[in-house]
Amino acid sequence: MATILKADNLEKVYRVGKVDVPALRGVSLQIQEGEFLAVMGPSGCGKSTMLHLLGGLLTPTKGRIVIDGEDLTAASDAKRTDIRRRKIGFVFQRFNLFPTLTAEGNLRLAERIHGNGADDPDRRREILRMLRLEDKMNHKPLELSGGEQQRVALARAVVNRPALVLADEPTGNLDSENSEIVLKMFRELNDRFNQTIIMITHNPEAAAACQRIIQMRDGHIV
Amino acid sequence: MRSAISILGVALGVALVMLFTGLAHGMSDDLQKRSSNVSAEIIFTRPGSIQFTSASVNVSTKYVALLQQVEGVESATPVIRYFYSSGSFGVDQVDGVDWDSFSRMNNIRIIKGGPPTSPDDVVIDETKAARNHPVGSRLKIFGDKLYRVAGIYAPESGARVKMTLAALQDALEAPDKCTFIYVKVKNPAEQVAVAKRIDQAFPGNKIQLTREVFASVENSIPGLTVFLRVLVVLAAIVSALVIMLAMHTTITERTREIGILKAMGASRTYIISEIEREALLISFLGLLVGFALAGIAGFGIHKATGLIFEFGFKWALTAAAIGLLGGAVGAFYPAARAANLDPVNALAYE
Repeated sequence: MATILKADNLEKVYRVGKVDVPALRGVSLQIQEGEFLAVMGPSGCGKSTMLHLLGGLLTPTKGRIVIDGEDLTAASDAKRTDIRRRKIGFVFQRFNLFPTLTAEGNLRLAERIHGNGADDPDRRREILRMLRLEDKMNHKPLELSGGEQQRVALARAVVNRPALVLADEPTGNLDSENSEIVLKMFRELNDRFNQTIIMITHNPEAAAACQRIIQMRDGHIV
Repeated sequence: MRSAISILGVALGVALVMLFTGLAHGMSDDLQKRSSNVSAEIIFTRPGSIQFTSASVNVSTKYVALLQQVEGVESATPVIRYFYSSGSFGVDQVDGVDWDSFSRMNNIRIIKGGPPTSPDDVVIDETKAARNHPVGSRLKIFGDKLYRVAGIYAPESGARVKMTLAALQDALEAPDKCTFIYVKVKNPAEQVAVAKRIDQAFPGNKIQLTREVFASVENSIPGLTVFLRVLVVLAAIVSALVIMLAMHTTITERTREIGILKAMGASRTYIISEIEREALLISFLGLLVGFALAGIAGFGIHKATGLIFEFGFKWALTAAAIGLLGGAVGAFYPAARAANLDPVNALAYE
């Protein structure tokens, strides 16, 4: 299997007032294509910071990140945005769907941002069908349950076939039943499409669904 | 709600431009049109006798006979122009004329009723008649005195209301006086030479060619063009500020959504263009509402006061450019601010 993501000695220091607060203290990580990885650890251990660095939303203070052969850390802000557009899909704890758009509209927006004439109704339908949302395509987020909203968010993250899906506590706002459904969808995406997924979770049952679990503490992988 | 207020803000700027320019041009064109129906080539008057909203009655009617003796003059007819408060808004005019010579000189005919004969008679043009003044109705000009509409004349020329010269002289206590004398020449090609002859014969008076006097009523109103331009600039600033404020609020309210867009890989250009597109849509809707508001207000003003509103294509284009450009410029700063938001902070925004 090819390496889809490689992070070397990542450090991130936040400046809070006049104080430097280290969030990551030298994290190295290698993810293979098609891997489904869980990141666990207590609050404040640096999980989200690491996810934001891997997704190019933040730049590391030190270290190097290579995604699918492209060096994220050496890239300009515009280039990082471009890599994010082409190679990364995000799923958030709070779903973060656009409330005025329907489920399909949210997917179409992702396609429009992706550009290159990406408007693939078949792909949209396939994804929504796989996520059991085919009858919810024309529903707006407020007309959907939490579990359904998160599935739409997941569909939006994968509609452009990203190399990597980064999920930040995707079941954190869901009850156990919906959590189970969403996790099942993650597994199915991983199985059927060989989708590489990195998922932050506090939930051991969610982590158990993954192929590999890494634990973090105080800005280190332990 | 915010978008509706923004649309109204842009509409206000556009409507102001359309209304002010429409009224200025409408009135100017109306004056021009009425002036163009005067056949006389020369106006004989005293310096300062006629201003934009006032006139004196200080020209002796004895000049009529004297002017007719000047070589090249075909006919001359005295006119008193009197400005009076129209009651609802602004001023109106009434002409006192020697009906026979005036109508003959300017090819004006009575199309309904008859000419003014008694001191209480007036004749009006079709526009005035259309405002609920049929033949036989009564019209107030001086205080509470009522004048009878004796007839309706066409084409429209000079003041819309005309009465006999004698009646107006009597009302103004100015016997044997008028405001100016229209002079028609035998050969229009020689009007300049005739005007010179009149000037030489009666020095100290004011001799004007009608074609120059009525060439541009609009330009004759001091500062009107500057006023209209200032108005246009103010409208542009108002539109830009309204859109800037609206977009600034939008960006603040949608910080989280902008964070999501950035997480999805939306470039700065994409975010700016989306915000600009929204601003342009608001501006476009504001334009439509502004045009409608201007049209309704212009119609209402015309109905209430008789002022004429003209929907000028050139000014409509100017107003459209102001609205759209103001919107685009106003939205640019908030759009650029949104494009530069830190995605992680934006995503964490509550």
